[in-house]
Amino acid sequence: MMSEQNSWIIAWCNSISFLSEIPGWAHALLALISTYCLVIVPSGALMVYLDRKISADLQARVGPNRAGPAGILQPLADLLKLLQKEATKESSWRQNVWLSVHTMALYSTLAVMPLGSMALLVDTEMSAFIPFWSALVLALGTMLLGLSQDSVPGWFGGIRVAAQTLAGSFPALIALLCVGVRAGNFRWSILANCQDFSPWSWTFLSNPFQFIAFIVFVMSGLVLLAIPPLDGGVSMSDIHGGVSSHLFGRRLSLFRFGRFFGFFFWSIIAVVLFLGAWKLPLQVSEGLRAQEAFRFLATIELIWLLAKTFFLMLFITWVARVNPRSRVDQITDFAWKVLSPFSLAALVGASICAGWKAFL
Amino acid sequence: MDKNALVSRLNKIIPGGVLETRRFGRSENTSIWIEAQAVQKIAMALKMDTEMKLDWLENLSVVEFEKVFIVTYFLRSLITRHSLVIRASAVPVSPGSEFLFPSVRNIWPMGLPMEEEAEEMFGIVFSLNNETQFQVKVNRLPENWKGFPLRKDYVFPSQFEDITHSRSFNKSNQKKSSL
Amino acid sequence: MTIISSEPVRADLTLWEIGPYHSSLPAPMRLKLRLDGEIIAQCEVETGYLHRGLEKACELHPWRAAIAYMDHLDPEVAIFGELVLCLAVEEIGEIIVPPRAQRIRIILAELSRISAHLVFMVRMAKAVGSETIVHYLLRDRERILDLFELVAGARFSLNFLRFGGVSADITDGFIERVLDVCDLIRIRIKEYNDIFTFNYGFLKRSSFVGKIDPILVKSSGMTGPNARASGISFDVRKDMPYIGYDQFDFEIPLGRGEGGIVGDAHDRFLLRLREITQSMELLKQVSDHVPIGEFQNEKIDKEYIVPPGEAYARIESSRGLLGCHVVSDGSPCPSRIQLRTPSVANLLAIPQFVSGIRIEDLPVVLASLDLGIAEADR
Repeated sequence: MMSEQNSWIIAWCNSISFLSEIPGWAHALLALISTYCLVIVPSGALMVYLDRKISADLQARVGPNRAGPAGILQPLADLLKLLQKEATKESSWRQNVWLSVHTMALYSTLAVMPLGSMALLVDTEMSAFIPFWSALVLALGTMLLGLSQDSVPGWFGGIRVAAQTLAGSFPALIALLCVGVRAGNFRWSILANCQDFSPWSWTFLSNPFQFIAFIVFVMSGLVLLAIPPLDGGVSMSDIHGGVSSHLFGRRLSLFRFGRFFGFFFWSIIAVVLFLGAWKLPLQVSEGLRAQEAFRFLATIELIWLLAKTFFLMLFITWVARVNPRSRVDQITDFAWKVLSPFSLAALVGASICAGWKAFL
Repeated sequence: MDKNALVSRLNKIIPGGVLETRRFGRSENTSIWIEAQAVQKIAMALKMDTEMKLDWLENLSVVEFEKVFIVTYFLRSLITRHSLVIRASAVPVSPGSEFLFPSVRNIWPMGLPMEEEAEEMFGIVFSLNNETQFQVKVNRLPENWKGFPLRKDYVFPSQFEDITHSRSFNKSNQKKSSL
Repeated sequence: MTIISSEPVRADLTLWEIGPYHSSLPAPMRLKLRLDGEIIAQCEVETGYLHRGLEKACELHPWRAAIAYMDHLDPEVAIFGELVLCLAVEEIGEIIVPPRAQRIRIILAELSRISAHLVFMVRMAKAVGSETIVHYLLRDRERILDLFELVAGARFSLNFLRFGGVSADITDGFIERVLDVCDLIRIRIKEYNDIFTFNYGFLKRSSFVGKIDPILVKSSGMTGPNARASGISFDVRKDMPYIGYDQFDFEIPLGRGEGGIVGDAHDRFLLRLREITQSMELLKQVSDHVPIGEFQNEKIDKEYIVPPGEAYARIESSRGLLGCHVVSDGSPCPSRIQLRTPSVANLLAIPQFVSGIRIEDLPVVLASLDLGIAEADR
């Protein structure tokens, strides 16, 4: 079991010769660290760059163009600047505690991150639900991080984040059930395998209810994690970003990167559930598997998955750049009164469709 | 608008309140000079006047002219579109000291910020009931700032807290350099 | 200036003091909010952080320098401060302004009004967090600043008007370029409407928010677009025409409450959008009637000393009625220059209508008032 699922990581390890014989837990740890360092962080840098460049094009301006050719090193420059920034205020022990709780909750989801058929560390019957658990812990951590600050923006930010998470998690979970009804399981591998390379086989086009479920899933994810344009909880214009208003320098970059990670992870899940996951065309995957070129297969799958993910993220960013930020009461209203009924209708419809197919 | 009729009406309500009428520039034909102590009564009478209905204090301007402080009220009516200038003068008891002047902020609420500004800049304390209250709210000027900058006898301090400066603000020097 | 609402202090309310620098404030000022949950129960305003002693500075310098100081009355729209001072001085000195100079002044004033309203829209877009339109608006305002640069050599502090005219004649082709910019902005306004004005999210954020009652407008002395959005029809250009506004045909738009109700934040936004259109109409008319001739009264030179006397001039700036009381005692320096600025009344009104709104709406409401702290504090 372990050897099959970790084959990707073992392939990576084997290429580094002195790590030939190590225990399983070390494999897992190595997998987490390498996923973080080789996938998450570069994706963050790339997304920051793409976001800034594409937004600049949309907004009739130039965008970053100084650091490296065409400003390609701008994310690195930003990071270096943020790391050497000094805090203007001493941080309290409460802030440290809740920032670490928040960060741990966030990155615990790394273990369940579906990054390809070769890179599934935790692939159980319930693995699709684990990110939600983390999202709720994350919201709690963020709320307490906000409340631990002795300032009004922090309090409001914390409460708003909690309200948004509560409102967003219900429709998101129901939308997840819709996919489960179609696939018959909540294993990442099964959720992915019920789709194929062609967009017509993707879950979101399989029937109208799955399409509604996809829209609901993406939008409730924006509500749940307070991602623009539904980011009233961390609004910049009135409460200075709420929870992050009293974080500086390294802490702020940790928090900001955490917010990116939430967005990124949510988009990956949306792609895996609805947009054909990492499925490659023309039996490529079977062919590579037969030739035991696992490392190559894993890389291609990862690139294809990330390409779709970036496309989804850039689409959301594009909408967010043009549209005004909604108010937090309007967001929660929207989640409870619009997204939730639609998600329930989608669940009923998806169940009927699944039952219809079973009878046929 | 009949100027003389208005003055006679005002004289009827507040005998001796109106001192004289005079031209004011080219745009404002009439300005009425009134007794400083009668400002509140005349203001009320003008606001309630059925023909004028001067419900809007457009501007309140304080000018120091030959040691006399002239307070000018530019009035206007949004209903009848009439406008009027009333003026009153006052002299401080001793140079450099604050003095009281009747306030019109309860008659024209928009006068509050203008009066507060005059309090800071000229040291004219606008009071409602002629009670003695020498509390100037200092917001425009830094805390602990001494003196009233817009008065003619105001001397710029060469030092304020730990800031010093040596530039001369003497007006006579300026005149020489400009001519 | 401290403006305190008269309600009693309640112990169950959160106190939140924001300012002098805060992202929801358009300029340095201080708000003391008492919050019931996220709803503002009480608000106190404190300003004065941008006091530069402008009136005193004018008294310390010769008459000519006062024009340069008036540029800084409101740095965003420098021309209005200059214009009001020139009008007052011309009234004292009975200076005749040549018709060509009058037309140039109207063109500059209306261009400034368009530019100021574009900046207003930028602030509004920033308050609701809509980034793209901000850059579009600033891109188009650049065209107007280019025109200022062409005519005066500066983009913000023009220092261009003089007693009895303007300091330089406009160059050939300037009028055509003004018309080009008008045509450009007319096309762009449609773009703004598509992307922002009638955007559902923006309507949700700004309509029914921060309604100003006509009674409040009257009691606080508000003027300009804010008052007109609430239905008070008062515009100095119509009621007391200056620099020849009475020779042109234009209408003063009033609030209609299309997005929500009359006098809400979205209505104030729409009204300024209509004023831009109106200003462009006006520019079009003026550009046909720029006579050939002098641009400056020849009798007025650099050492001109204003004769003793006083005058009060008022104009319609982009924010409302801007008044200037000038007193001259015949000396080389002004005896007194007193300014009546429209933003003071807007600040006075804030505590009386913000109670009851959510703190997320506070930036929107403040932006919709178009506060000019620089001119309020002087």
